[in-house]
Amino acid sequence: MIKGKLKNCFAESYRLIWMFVLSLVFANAASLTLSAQDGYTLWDDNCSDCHSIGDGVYLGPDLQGINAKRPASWMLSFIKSSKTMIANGDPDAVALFEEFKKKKMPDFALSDAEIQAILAYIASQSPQATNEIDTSKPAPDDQNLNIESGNTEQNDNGSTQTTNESQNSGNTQNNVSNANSGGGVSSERLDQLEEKLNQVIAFQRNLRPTEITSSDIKKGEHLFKGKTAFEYGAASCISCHNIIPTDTFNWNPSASEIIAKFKFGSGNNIEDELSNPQTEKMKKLLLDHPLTNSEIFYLSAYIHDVSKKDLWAESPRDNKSKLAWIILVLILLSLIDLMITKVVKPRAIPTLIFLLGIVFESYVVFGAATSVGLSQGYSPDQPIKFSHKVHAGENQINCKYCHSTVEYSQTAGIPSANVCMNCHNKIKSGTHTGTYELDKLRAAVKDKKPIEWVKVHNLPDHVYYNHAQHVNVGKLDCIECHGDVAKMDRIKQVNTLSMGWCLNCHRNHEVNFDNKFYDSYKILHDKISSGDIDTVLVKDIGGEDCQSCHY
Amino acid sequence: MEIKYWNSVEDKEKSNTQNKLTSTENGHNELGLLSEELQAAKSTRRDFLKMCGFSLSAAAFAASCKAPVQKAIPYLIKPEEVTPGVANYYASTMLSGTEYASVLVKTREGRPIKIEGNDKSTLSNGGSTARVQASVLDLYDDARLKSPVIKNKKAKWDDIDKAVMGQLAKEDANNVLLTASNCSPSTLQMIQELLDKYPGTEWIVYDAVSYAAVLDANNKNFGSRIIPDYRFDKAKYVLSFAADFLGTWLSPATFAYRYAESRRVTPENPAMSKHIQFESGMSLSGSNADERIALKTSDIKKAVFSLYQILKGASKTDLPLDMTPYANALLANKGNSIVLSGINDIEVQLTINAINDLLGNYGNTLDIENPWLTAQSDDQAMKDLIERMNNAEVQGLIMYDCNPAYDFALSDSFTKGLEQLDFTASLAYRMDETASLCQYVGAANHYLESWGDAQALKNQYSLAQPAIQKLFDTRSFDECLLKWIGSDTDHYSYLRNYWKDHVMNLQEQESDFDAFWTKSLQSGVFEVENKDKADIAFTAVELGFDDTETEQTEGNYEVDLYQCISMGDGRQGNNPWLLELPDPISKSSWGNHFAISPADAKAAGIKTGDIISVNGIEAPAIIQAGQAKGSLSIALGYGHEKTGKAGNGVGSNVYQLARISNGYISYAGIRVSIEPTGEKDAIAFAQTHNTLEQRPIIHETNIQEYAKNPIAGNELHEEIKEELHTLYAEVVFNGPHWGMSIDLNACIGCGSCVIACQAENNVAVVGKELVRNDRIMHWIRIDRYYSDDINNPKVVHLPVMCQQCDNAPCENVCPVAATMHNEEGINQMAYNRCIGTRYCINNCPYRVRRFNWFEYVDNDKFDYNMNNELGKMVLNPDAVVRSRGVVEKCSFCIQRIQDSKLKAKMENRDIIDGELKSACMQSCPTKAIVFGDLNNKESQVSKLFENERNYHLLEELHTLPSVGYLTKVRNTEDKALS
Repeated sequence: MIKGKLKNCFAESYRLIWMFVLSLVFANAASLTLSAQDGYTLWDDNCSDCHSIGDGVYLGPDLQGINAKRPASWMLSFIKSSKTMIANGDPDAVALFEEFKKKKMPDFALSDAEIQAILAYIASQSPQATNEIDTSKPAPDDQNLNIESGNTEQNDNGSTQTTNESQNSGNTQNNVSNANSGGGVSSERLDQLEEKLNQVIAFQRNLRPTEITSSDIKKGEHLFKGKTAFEYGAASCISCHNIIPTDTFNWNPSASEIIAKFKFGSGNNIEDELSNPQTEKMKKLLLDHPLTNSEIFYLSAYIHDVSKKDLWAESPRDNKSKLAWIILVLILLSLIDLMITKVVKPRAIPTLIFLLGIVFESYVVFGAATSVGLSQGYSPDQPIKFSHKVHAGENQINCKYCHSTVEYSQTAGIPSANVCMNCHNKIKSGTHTGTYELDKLRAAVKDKKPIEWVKVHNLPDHVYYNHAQHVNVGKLDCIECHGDVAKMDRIKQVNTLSMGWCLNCHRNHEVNFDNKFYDSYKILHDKISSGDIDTVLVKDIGGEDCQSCHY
Repeated sequence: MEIKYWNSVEDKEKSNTQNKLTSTENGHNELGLLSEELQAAKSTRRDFLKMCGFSLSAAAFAASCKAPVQKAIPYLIKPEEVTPGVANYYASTMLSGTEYASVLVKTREGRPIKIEGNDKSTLSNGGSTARVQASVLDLYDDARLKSPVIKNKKAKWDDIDKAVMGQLAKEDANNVLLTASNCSPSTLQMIQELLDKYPGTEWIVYDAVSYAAVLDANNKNFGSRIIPDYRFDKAKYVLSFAADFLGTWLSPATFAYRYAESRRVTPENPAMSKHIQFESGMSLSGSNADERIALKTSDIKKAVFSLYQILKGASKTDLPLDMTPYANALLANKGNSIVLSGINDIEVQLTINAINDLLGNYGNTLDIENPWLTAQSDDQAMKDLIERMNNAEVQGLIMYDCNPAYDFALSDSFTKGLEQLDFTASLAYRMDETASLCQYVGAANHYLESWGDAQALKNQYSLAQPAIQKLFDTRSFDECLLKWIGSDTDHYSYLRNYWKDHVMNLQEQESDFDAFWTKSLQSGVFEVENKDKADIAFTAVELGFDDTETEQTEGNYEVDLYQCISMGDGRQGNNPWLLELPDPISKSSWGNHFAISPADAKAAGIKTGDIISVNGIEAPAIIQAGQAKGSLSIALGYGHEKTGKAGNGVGSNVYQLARISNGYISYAGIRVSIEPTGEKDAIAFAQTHNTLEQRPIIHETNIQEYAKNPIAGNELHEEIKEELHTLYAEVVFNGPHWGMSIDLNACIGCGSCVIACQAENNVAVVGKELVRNDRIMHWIRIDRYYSDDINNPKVVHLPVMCQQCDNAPCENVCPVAATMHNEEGINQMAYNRCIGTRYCINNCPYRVRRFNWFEYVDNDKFDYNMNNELGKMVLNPDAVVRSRGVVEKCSFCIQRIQDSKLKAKMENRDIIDGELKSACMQSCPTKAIVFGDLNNKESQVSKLFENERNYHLLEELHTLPSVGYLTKVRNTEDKALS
């Protein structure tokens, strides 16, 4: 009882803390019109195609630390109309114009506040800003920002307030104490409070794992699996997030994926996500049916508990061995009965069981033997829920756009992440998956970690297959081997890709004999003109040779 | 004409007494299948049944197991020029001491996998040597230095730089920069800048195998330390005194090409150059010479002087050999002859120069205006350096690309001197014998990781570009120099600036530097068209003949140290491909041996394989036909202690036998005495397992007979052709019918094709023990046959690969149809179908099929390149790596055929004759191998098949091979020289 009370106490205090934090965040957000967060959006929409922050020169210069390099007033006018500045002969602008091979930056119809937000975002992403902790001396960035606001005051009184605030928020993102420079006394106190609260929360979190009991986990599991209903009627987790790691092409991350993402110590926090969801779907769902803090706690306990298990991928082969074993036992039993026990009177029954069993077993053994190494129907989960149906089907993107090397290389080529980003720079939300799956792509690019796709169509090492030969020369359609990919969400191996399957095609497929390469095949040309043969099949020109594919 | 051929001295002696030989008489267990340990073990019938049961259940278990998940990981951001599955070629330059080669680097998915000669370079003409071919494997050598080292601890480059620059800046210190020859003009400029910046520094060039005497002789005669370009293609008479210009001397690939060009015969023009070779041990050049005179080195020197005197008008010499006929022949070919010598002796070289001048060869066959700049070494300076080191006159020594602790004649005093220095640093590729004695060791780049340039000839510039990112924390010499001279330009810009300032103005076609640079980089070479001919005059110097041997009096033998084609000077000593490459003459691999003449061996009671001690250095002896009496020969470059797992302890280091006489390192004619040790070593011979049994597989004739009748020597071909009949219908090939022609007149036996094939087809290295047991895996071998006199035999090099018989004996006996004929005439081998009965091997009359007795990949027993992740990067992804228990053999480079066919189909055209080259054809420096479509009557190979000289090996068996050979034509006369 005491323990229960204590826990209630804890839950209550936790709830209070969270309410306080939330109110703080809310108050902060409400008081601002444009923050660095907006700065990011603006940056991403307008600037990021040509500029980087710290990743080097793209089309235009790297803008890391630009706030320290150029006065804000100069930046404002340059962004609004660089062309005018160049025309007016501003020395810096002209120098830039010359340096970047006379490429002009387009003019942007952005308000001063928006530009300030962008600059604040750049400042927040520049290392000086992120590493700046020493508050005793004002860092160069701060100075510039102060000058900036001074300048804007002179230029445009109306926007002064916004500028100041946007710049503050840009800094508070990274450095709480920087708020001093513009926020005043009340915000300073607020910051102190916030810091204390953070400490309290951190303390509580650290304690938590030791306080989780198995009943908490059980409750969490019940909530997750829908055995217990949520207080405010939210749908159970399992209705969207499949608990089995495989076959979860319902566009929502599977349970094991959530577990992997919110693993203890991964930096992601399931409580934050549940109390303040980031994705559109979750927002929509939890707006009307919020979770109580205890529910969040239980769920989190459950997730942390099972997080030790990793996501695993399905293996290519799945055999029906269980049934085979049962039948085998039946065969043995019937055999024993036939020979020794002789219990079952109509002798036909065990005889029949025995014979049918043998037939079945032979079938299974034959099937297993012929399909060793084959993986028809293989359709594993991929690290990103990429849908060919959406891309190739609904959006009619040509296969060759992504698999660009198919016409001249041995491999069709799995597109590198930069090819994905050609479109997904702008398309930020998926048809089915919202931003969740695309976040993985962006994370891959950002963290410079290539995506590890699971290979579906996999030929053994002793087989040489060349896409260019079949697609470019043989004029085969992708569908002929890969099936109707445009209708597949998750890619699936439709054909056996066995040697017999290859050879069947080589035996029946007509050669595109007007290719000038075949001009030297005089005997066959003579036979065609004399009418001995109608068509030249692949087998006629060596399509059945071992060393066409094995070398 | 019936010539008896034999493959070793033992073979000849045996064939004198008995006709039949069995190949299993070599002392190892009868079948040679099992180690002794295994033989001692017993297995019973019950064990066998147990094994059967186990394998059955294992198979059942395996069948129900799940296949592993395969990942497909694309690039994050694909580099524009890299396409997975498509090879890229980059022109680059290999520069390693005096060795230079313009190369094409084939890369797949960003890793170099094959080196080919650059066909845009007139020095390589697409060919290359075995060592150039093998250099790609050095890149992936696990024993290379992976980071800088200070006092045996992993260190940072900054610390090395600080230490080196600190030492160089010391005002009271004498510092020496010791490097191997380096003909990179930009590097030379950097070195000059370094010397200018640090005035107390001196630069000395040292080569393990030195050309100092040639350089100095030319310096005396022409005023600069250069070596003239030898135009063997223009020469009608070549007289070489112990210069192995086809094997290892200066630039063998270049010379071999020119040499072969001068020896191509047609019925219309039955003329070829004549080559006379004076030498003690049989070299590659000697084996190809029309006339080879076996003399020990002291006699060769005498012969040089005597030749000069006769040319000058003297009539009599005190030599047992009369040089008059040679002098007459030379005089008859004035301006069309070449006389050269590989002896590092200034007097000999001065005399050679005087002879060439006398014959008017300069300006004709010897190009002195466009000379070689690859060699720069100064033996005297090196000798002085060691004295100064020992007298504490030098404080700091910084080395690059040299290993004197291993390869200098006075390596002991070098090591002692090194200990007395305050500061020792070496930029080395591996922790070699010298580097391991140094305080500071920098890790050097491989040439495939570096930018650079070279000026091999005065008018021949070439660029080196990296074909892969640096694999480890290494640096090129140039990058180090730039750091040390305090330059803030990066190496690439420096190189570009150098070419902008110094090279671009040598041409007029391109006015824009970027265009010039791109063009040069693409082709790899830039050749200056030399318009105005500077007349370099010959300055005669007084010749002093010193016949009296002053210090070397003891000992009955003269030992000659030579570079063999696989090891060279020993730089690539850890390269398993090269270690296993059989010597073209002795056919031995995995070690060096003292070659001794049959007469001396008999007198001393020495047999092949007996370990003898020569001045304290022990190595097994080989009775070598054609070895000069009283001489011994042994290859340099073996006996490393610190080169890596594969090369350590293989053979003996014989550099210590070299002497310094007269200021030059003397490698030949060193007087020694020998002592048998009573021990034996089973030498890993690659050819002597098999016997020829006097089958007529070599057809040869001489130029006179050939001029009379082009069929000369090849009469048998016509005879057999008429006799062969078959009941079966002739095989018809709808498309191409691939064939190959090998010109025995052009093949010099250099072994380049063997390594090229190994690189192209992922051929495994099997090690000494297995070579000894006749299990070498090479798909192409070069058989070497002797004929005639055992003391001075004639030699034929015969490359043999799968003959791709159209009526193949191997195909009929395979119980599982793993080997059969394809639609294009290739005898194909399906490895996955092969169950290893080896019936095919038994039934193949050419012995070209190889069986994988063991798993050679990931097997610690075969700890070569295929046993570590780094070494495996060299594997060609287009060729399967075979596993244990299957037979393999030459496939005519089927992957190249398929690739060319696909390319042609994609471009909607037929294959152009000559564009499709097998790896052996591509690498051949003499263009002896021609590959192509026999169904195309216009192709070169079809024409060669119609040539009067064409024949096939064992054609009387009616195997209908797709490989043809062209009769060897020698420029000899039956009568004495006129």
